[in-house]
Amino acid sequence: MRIVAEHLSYVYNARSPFATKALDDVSLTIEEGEFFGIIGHTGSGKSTFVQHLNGLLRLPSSLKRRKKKDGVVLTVGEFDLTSKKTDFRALRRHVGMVFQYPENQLFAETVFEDVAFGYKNFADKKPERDEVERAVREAITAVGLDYGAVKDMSPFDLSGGQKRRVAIAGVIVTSPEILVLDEPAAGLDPLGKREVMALLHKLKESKCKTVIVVSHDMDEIAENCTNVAVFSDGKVKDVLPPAELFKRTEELFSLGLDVPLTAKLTLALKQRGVEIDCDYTMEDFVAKVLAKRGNVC
Amino acid sequence: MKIGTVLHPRCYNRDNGSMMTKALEYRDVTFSYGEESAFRMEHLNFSVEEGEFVAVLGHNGSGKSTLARLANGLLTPDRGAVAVFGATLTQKNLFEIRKQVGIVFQNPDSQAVASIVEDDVAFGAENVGLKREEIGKRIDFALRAVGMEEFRTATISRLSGGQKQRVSIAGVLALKPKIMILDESTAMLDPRGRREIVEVVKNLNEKEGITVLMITHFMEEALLCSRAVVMNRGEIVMQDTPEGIFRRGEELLTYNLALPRIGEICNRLRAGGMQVRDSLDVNTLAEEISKCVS
Amino acid sequence: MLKDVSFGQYYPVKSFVHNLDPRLKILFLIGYIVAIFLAKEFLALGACALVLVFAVFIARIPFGKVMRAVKGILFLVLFTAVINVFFHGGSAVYWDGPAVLWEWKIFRVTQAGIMFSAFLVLRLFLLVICSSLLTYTTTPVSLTDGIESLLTPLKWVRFPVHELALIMSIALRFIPILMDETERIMNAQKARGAMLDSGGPAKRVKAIVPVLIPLLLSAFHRADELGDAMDARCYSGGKNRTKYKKLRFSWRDLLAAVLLAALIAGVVVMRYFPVFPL
Repeated sequence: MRIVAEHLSYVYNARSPFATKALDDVSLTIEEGEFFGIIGHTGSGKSTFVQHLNGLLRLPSSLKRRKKKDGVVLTVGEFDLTSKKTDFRALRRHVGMVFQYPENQLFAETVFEDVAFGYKNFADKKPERDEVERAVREAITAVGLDYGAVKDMSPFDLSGGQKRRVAIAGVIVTSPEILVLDEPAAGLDPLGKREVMALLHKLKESKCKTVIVVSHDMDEIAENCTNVAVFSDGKVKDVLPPAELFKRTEELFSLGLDVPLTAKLTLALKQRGVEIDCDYTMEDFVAKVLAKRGNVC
Repeated sequence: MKIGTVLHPRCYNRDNGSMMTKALEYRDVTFSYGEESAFRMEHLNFSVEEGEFVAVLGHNGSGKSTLARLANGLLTPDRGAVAVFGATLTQKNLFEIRKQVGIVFQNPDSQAVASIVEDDVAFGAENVGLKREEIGKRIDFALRAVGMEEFRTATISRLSGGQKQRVSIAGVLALKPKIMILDESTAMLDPRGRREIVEVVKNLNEKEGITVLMITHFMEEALLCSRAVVMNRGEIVMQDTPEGIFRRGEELLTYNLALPRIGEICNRLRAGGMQVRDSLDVNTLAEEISKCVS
Repeated sequence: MLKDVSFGQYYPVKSFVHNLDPRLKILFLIGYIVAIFLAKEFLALGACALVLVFAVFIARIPFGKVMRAVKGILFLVLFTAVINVFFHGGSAVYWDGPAVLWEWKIFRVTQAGIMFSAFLVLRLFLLVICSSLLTYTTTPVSLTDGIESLLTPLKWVRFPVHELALIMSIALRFIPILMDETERIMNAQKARGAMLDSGGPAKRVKAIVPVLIPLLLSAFHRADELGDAMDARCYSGGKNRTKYKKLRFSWRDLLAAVLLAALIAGVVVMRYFPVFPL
């Protein structure tokens, strides 16, 4: 499923002293099969944007009336999100959304019940027991947990990293084509962070065709994404692959954004007369540096 | 236990012959959260010198927060004692100790009691019964120290995460503590907020001479400290300079921690045959690399 | 963001009314309510209305904001008014025409009934507008400070005035946070296909569980952390505690108090010497 947004705007608390323009004429296309990164600091509109993708935020009706004139477009695959008739339940089944600190939304008595929640909600009629069990088993295994060991445990007895995996399992249980994650690694310890990012790669290969990650961690973005959108003040500044994007170090700094360590090193080396042309993943950076090695060391 | 260490905060340091003051000392502390909990801290000995900036690293559940909460009597050791500037923490001097040991917690949204910045910063100073004029001065001082003077009458819920945490720090500073503990206070912030907090804390350490214990799992933050400590299962398993700690990457992995990325790049370059020295900042490493490429 | 549209939230502008002592504003509200209920005729109520319109004007609260407060109780007020029109009875004559305008079985519309209903509607509107004016112009902290100060005499009978005020202030501080949190959790569960706003009552109650449990857990967690943060800042109850902000009466307060006194006096006089009795 392809995502197309054109001239999308959104205002919180319109007509009040606290009115804030969260999205300002955003146009963005995300192709099927991408590992898409969204960066920008807090309040840049990135969370507002992703919440449109499964209809949690909708175009205000006043905007809908004007949409023909302004050319507002928002489609996810076959779904036209600017239309009143859109079946948002069906849409949400295809667009899984993992919020920040998803473990805070766990509620059921057992891991099994919690993961099954979404599956049962989206089923058209009451699903058979073994059907549910198959889906839940698949989801729990997919996030790298031992189904037999955790299924009857209370989700609240798990460790932080495990809780997060269960929460992700609760979203992918319906096998959504698009998986959107807001800061999936936030608050985890360093090893937990790496494990979650590795997990996303695995999920992209096995379950979800498109993965969209909102993140502050530029190293994560450089290592994983095929394309990156830069949000600032409700606008999309650029959409580029990391290899291109992080060449513009100065520009990102001026937006108050960071760059990956590899980009900082590349810049520092350039100042010392050493040109490295890498795609900013650690692997490529190291390889390119080693290729330049002289006979001195 | 030597009587001298109890009565006099200043004790003789045999290593360099100078007089060192122990700001915070854990003496043979044993602690558990009751029978059901798997967590145990046994015979922990650890001390922090006055003016030090110490990072405490460890994965979730390694006992970092317990360490913080023991320092000002939020938790009481089952056996052993905690001493602040030589004074053993007891029920009697609890509030005196709490004035000296401030703790800033993790969630920027859960620490303020009042809705307006200055009202919240005043809270601690009001609690200890200071006079109005003095409280006013303390608010001035605290807000200046965290760079939030212009937000004095702002509504806290409208601030950014980093600003909220700076208000939390100011609220602790209003008590003029000598020791400040940050219990994962940067964990829920975005990179900008994290930078703000690290800068403020570094400043407090250097300019105000406040002893800082910074609990974090951002390896990069530990690079700024004079000493780093690694905890695992309620035990202190490593203690060294940040460079020293990160030289032992393999060992870190066994405690569920990882090297900072820069350390990993050094390692990979060496594995590829490039003899760069361990460097923990960008410019040093770039220098090392540029020496190796002709 | 739910928190910004909640009813009666502080409206941050600078004005004469904003600067009044919160204690006076609370007393003013009480006095005003007394005046409204003492008023027996339109002239008296009109005077009350005039004072309030004036107060809203100098408080620089936009008219729409005030109307939003009224909208909240509109249904309730109209319902009461309609009931009163049909059942009030009475035989007083206010304009040319029969005293009883329409009658069917137990329903009877009279001139007196219509007047009485109109009076009631006006009274309730004034009441709501005046209370919302208080919350629009007073920060939660000064409101609780005001209440604490006014309740101080109760300390003599060991009533925990300070604790009560602190609880109120913390509650006010955490309401927007918890509302945000509720919205976040609701969104997350909706994304997992939860139908939170459809189905019968039984279904809806069941649907609330996935929202309620995480919300409670988070609230307890926050309470824990807040408790620790308060302890760490030497909190030990109201004993030996000082206050940074002292409430002080100024000329403004005196002016407002005089205005209120005049209003009440006028209303009381009119009660006993009616001009146009209802």
